[in-house]
Amino acid sequence: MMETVFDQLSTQCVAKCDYAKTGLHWSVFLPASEIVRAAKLLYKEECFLEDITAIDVKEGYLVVYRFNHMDRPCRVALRVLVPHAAPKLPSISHVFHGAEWHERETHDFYGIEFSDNPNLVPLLLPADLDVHPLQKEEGARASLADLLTPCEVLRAEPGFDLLTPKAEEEGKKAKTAGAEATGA
Amino acid sequence: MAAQDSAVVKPECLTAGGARIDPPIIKVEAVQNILDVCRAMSLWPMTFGLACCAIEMMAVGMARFDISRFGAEVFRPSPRQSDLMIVAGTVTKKMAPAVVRLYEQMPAPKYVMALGNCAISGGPFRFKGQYGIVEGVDNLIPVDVYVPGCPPRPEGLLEGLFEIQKKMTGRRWWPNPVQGAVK
Amino acid sequence: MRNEKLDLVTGDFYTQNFQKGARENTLILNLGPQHPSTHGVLRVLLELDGEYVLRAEPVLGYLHRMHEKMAEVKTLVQYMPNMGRVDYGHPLAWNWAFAGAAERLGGIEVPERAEFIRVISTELNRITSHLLWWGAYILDLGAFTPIMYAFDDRERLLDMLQILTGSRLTYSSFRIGGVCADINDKFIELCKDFIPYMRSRLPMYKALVTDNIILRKRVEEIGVFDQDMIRRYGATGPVARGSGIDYDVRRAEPYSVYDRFDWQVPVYQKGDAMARYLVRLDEIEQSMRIVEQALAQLPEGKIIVDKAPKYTWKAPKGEACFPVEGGRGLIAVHVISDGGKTPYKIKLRAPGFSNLSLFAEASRGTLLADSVAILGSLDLIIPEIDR
Repeated sequence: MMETVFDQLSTQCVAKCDYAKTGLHWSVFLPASEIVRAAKLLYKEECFLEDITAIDVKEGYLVVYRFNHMDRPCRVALRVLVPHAAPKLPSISHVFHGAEWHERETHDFYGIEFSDNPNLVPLLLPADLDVHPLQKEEGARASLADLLTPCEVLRAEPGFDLLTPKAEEEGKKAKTAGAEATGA
Repeated sequence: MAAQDSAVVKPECLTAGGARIDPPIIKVEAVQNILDVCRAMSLWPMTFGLACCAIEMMAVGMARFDISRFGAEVFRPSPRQSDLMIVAGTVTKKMAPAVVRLYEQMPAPKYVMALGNCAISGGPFRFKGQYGIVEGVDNLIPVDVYVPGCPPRPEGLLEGLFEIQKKMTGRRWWPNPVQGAVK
Repeated sequence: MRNEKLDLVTGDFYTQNFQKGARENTLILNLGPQHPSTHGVLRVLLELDGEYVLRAEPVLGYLHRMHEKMAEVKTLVQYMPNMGRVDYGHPLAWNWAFAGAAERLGGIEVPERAEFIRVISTELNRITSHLLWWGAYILDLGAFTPIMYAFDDRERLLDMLQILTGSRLTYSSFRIGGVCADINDKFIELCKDFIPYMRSRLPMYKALVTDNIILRKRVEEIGVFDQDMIRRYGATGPVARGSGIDYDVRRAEPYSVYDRFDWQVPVYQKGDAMARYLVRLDEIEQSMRIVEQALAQLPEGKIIVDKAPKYTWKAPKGEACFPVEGGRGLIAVHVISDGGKTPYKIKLRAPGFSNLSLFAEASRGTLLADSVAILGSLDLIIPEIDR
């Protein structure tokens, strides 16, 4: 059922997650331009929005939208990566009105701009606090692949490497380089 | 900050319990002492429940712990009608101006009880990198009694009330709890 | 610390922001953040035309206690007491959501007896949460007596929960891998006394309060939410079940041992405040049924897994959540770990946040007194909303 929804979107990656280990059924990476269409399709499927949040990783801010269904439970995490320098996304609050508050909260904590959110003023923080508290320092950020539980990738765009563990790759390169050096 | 905190305090303006009030027009000590006892036995708390401690404050008003035995049953929502502000819960920086404003709206003589660890010092929400709370309501308003706990038991709130009564009148009016009395 | 100057004439930032859309000859009124109804520090900006609410905007953040920031400085085991304070109404459900997520990450399996103790304590906590809601709601509507009865019943429950958890209100008795204390004979005795006692009280509440014509006039046909509205805002729990949506996380995503008991999910179709009221009262009865059956089926065994995580425990890398049904709806704590000492990120999905977000739309055009009735029927606990 959800797969028909994902087929209609131009996704970057569609992955099936291990529900018993993560609590998620699907993890889908989208470009920012597709998120409103995705929201409209999920609204037609009678899904509801659980929450919107963001994770501050090396590659940028990963904005995560979690949807679920009340009759056929299925937790879908739509993930959109936006760069640190220009964290801008279209708002889905015209489709799911509850998203207005979730987006305001994400903006409070991470400074992410949701264009055409009807009321993007601070929700939880004082109006005069000019800090986005959950942003991480440069040195404290981890790479996305080092955070997410590995899942079964059904299809991915060529060149999609957000889920490839960077540390593993570098470790392999170092090993092969070391093996060559010792003349093995 | 508040009117009571003036640096020059004439000794005649202190009650036997050490609390300060504006000097009366006619001053007869015996009458003032009786009035202090009357005030202490009929404190009107303001409903200023902010967080979890508010529920213990409500429990104190209910049948099992019954604060009305000690006179403080009439919880008033309006600061202008109350004389005891029980700050029950965490004071955030967003809420701080409202706390000060409410305190200033209370008519003197007024008393403040900091209920729970958050009101005393920020409690469990005081950590390195915190950006949102005021670490103790005594950074904003003068506090008379601190009742520790997270949340304090209703009996703790009652003991805090007795301390305020002691501050107002100079003595504790209720028996000390006896160890092992309750089976 | 800056003290915001409250200009008595023009109002603060939120008032000025709200005034931008104001029509002529309307009154802008602040409901809160300090007000006599016991929801906590919620502020609602209202644009009133006489008694009618034209527009309402809740202003949050007066109890923002930085739980998600605190997750970055505490280890997973040290974070459990935060879960006791996020929602003081149903803290054991939050305990469970967090412990379950950590256990999923760590691949830890909880012993069976511990699962039963978790079910029993969480269901008893659900009853205290609903009783607190019920008493406070009727107090909001103007009746002073039912809250006395509700708190009296609650005190019996708190005595029981004190045996299992050590606290009266902000429980953090779950551990990653089990629970901290066992059921003893005193608990079973108190529980066996409580359930028939409460069953004899519920008909009295029905006759005194639920069937009372004054309550019915205040609450019936007020605040009707249709199913589309519920979905658009992501409202769950009794708010959704009062509008005919049969969605309970204990049935939808079964966890623990709930499937071993015979119990029902109350669902009412009308969608008004009375339907939500009836859902919660019925849930009290259903929770008691679950507790009875759990006590009867309680197995022997350990209450916590061997070598349970100590405070220096590092979870393996990964992302996990463990959705549970709290008193207000779907609770999910998403833990993302990079294998380090402290979690990389914890996201708290609070049901009250989504439930409150529909208030702005729901209160348009209602009378002020009715909007307070709608607000109460949402069962809000502000620290959960502000986190």
